[in-house]
Amino acid sequence: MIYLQTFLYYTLFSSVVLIYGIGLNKIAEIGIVKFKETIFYVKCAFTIIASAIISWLITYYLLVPLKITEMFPLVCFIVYACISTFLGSIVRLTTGRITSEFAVSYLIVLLSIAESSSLLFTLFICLSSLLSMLIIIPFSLTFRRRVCSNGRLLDEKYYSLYFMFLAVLILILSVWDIIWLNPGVIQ
Amino acid sequence: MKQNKSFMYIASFLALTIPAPGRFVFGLTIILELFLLEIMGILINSLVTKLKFEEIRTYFVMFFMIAITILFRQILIFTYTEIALTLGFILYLPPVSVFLTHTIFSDLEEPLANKMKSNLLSTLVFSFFILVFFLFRDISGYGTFTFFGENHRIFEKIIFNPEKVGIFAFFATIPGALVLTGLTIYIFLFLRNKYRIISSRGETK
Repeated sequence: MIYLQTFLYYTLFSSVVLIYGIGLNKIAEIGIVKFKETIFYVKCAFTIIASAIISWLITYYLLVPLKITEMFPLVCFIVYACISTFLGSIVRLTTGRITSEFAVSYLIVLLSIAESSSLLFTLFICLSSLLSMLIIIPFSLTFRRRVCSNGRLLDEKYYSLYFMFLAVLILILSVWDIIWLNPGVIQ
Repeated sequence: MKQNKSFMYIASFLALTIPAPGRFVFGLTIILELFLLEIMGILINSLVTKLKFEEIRTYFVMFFMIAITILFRQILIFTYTEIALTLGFILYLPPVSVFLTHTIFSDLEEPLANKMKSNLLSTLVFSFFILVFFLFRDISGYGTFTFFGENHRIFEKIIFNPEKVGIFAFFATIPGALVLTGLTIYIFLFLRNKYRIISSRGETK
């Protein structure tokens, strides 16, 4: 039950993209720039999960006994850099595609280590972060097709419309407990 | 290139302002961190150029940036515990923001003094917008003004009665911040277009 709650919390109620703001700019970019190849997303997902597991093991068995838990972002970074470079070079050698991505994957790893209490929770947070991005992408694409159907340019005005669209999306997801809708504020 | 740059500003503006609570003091903390990271990042980058570590430049600089963030967080925990507690995870967002990585890793050939000057200027303009944004959210959303206070706490001055804030409390929420960002871009574009019309009229005369 608690795993289901964790999963729902990070995908919908407090969506990693919309509330934590991780990857918000990347999602906005997906609404603007074209999709990349599938291998890019597979590699990113695999890197995130692998580096989260290894960083958690190092943090739990090495940093916590030594009482230097605050150093875990550095450990995450080293592990992430190693795995990302390794997988990136394999992908480049086999398919010839460059798959470099840093900010979003690293922040997801950091979040899943910082807010978990066991290895399973770390995995669940990683997966729900990825899923929360997957949920937003169709909305983002639909919005772009809708707005740009008449040959409109992707200028700054598009961005400002896009942010309002995201705001509406957050309101839809969390309309049940938004404070300003409660009676007493609007009188 | 120009559109790319404007998108970069918008993207990092979003990443820095949306998740943080809309109080002035948190905005100020993020700005301080941003300045510290900008200065240290440029210095370390020039050190990498001096030592000719070109192959591992990105990893080297990012490693130091994260280390500086950890140091900043520790100092914040010592001095203003309440702010560090509330910001929590958000303190790790600035070192990986698009703005910082873009400004530090571009124009590698330029001399240190010139680069420092131009980058600090752009950071100053950027941070000014962030501060105004946070100040507006603080005053309109909560009816207060916050700053670094004594005894590890946040100083809070109530400007007007929080119960009278009414519908403006919307701007304190995350959707409110997104709407506010959209409106800010609209106003900025409107002013820019007006300015362009006026300046082009001056040229034809």
